[in-house]
Amino acid sequence: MRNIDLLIQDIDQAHTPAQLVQAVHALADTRNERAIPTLISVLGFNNPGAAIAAMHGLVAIGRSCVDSLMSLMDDYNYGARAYTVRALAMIGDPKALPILLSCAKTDFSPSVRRAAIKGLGKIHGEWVEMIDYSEVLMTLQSMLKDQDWSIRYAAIVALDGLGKLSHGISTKAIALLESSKTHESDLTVKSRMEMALFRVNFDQDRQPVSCI
Amino acid sequence: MHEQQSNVAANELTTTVAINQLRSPDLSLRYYAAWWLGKMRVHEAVDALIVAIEDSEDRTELGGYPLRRNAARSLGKLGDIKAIPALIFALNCEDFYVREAAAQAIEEIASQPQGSISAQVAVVPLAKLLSSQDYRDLEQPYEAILEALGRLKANAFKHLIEPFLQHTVVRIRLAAARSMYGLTGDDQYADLLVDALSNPDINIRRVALTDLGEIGYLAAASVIAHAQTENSFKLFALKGILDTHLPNVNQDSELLENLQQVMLLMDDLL
Repeated sequence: MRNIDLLIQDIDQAHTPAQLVQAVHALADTRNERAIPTLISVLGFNNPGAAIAAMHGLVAIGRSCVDSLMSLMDDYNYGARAYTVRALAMIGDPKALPILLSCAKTDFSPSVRRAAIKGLGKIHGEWVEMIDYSEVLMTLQSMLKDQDWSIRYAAIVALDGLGKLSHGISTKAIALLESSKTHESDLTVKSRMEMALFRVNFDQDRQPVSCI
Repeated sequence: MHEQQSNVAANELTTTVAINQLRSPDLSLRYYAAWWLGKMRVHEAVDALIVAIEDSEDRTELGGYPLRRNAARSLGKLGDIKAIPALIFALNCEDFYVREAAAQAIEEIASQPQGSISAQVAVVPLAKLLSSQDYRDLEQPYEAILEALGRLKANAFKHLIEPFLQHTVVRIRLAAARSMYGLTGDDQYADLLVDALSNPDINIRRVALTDLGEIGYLAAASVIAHAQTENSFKLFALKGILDTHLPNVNQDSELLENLQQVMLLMDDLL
């Protein structure tokens, strides 16, 4: 797999932001597990295009990068942390649930919190029976009372996701949305809530939440 | 704005203490209180802040008035029309940053439903600051002035605003475009902001995003969602679009559908 080393070298030697993005895409497209450490390090580069390409590359590799993503979580760079959390959420492995819960509750950066909260509603359908949802629901319930509209918005998106699962959790998620409808004062957040409720009420064929 | 954090130390202040601190012998406490009262949206503080915006004791070595700047910013956040005369007076302060904060505060007050008519008295004083004929000059806080005039729909002064579309500074050109859109509703001006989303300078892209959110330019929603900036800037810009149009969705199912598409774009940015 000499090829992978060369692609990694291209990332190290990129001279412009555009070259970097291109090199990251090339490495990500291999879906090779040996690319994992490099792709994770790119999440911390100050280049959104490259970071997004790396994140999608990691998601495409899937479950085998979950351990590395969790152990290499960047405690100092909240941009990198947000991409890590998004990747974990999209992969949907329940192993990442404790990290998503703690980021949702305590991360100082709203962007990390939003990503983690949304992730709580994106647990992959095939693992749905393995998950204890009580803490997820409790967390989302408290997020619906956050001062920051974007945190409340993310909680609604998560509940919208859970509400569409073909699982007992969906009824509870919908009930939470219903119960907070009257307290919401922000027009955008309220409208997103109404959209979620409209969709769950009229969507007879409940689909498992998709992975991406 | 985009990475707001709750400030634990700030919560230790109480409203009354903070209002009293605006007259503290310790000038740094005055300065901090003026910021805190706006941040915490303490509406009872309006009268005290109107006094503070004329403070002459807190001066920098270069002659600036830090307390006045913070008082003006907080009066903008509080959005009370009572502050308008004091803010107009501050437009003539010798400190550039006080003038800038005052113009921004007038714009903020004018963006509220009850403020747009009351703030009309600021149009002429604002327009007077545009009298320069040299479009390389940076004597005045042009961005803030142009944006306030756009918000106030100051059509009588269109001839003073339009030339700033040619200013040498990109940010001032963008402010003029936003202003002209406010005046005319003509898409060609909003499209100048859309073009700036592909500017190589990320700061310019951020300004254009914020402006498009402020003017609520629905046609740009998808371009905003895909711009090369941090998700949080895009999220807040899309929120601005929704806040502009959601009040009009009654009876208009097509508009609601379009706005729901914007929400789905926002979901992807979380």
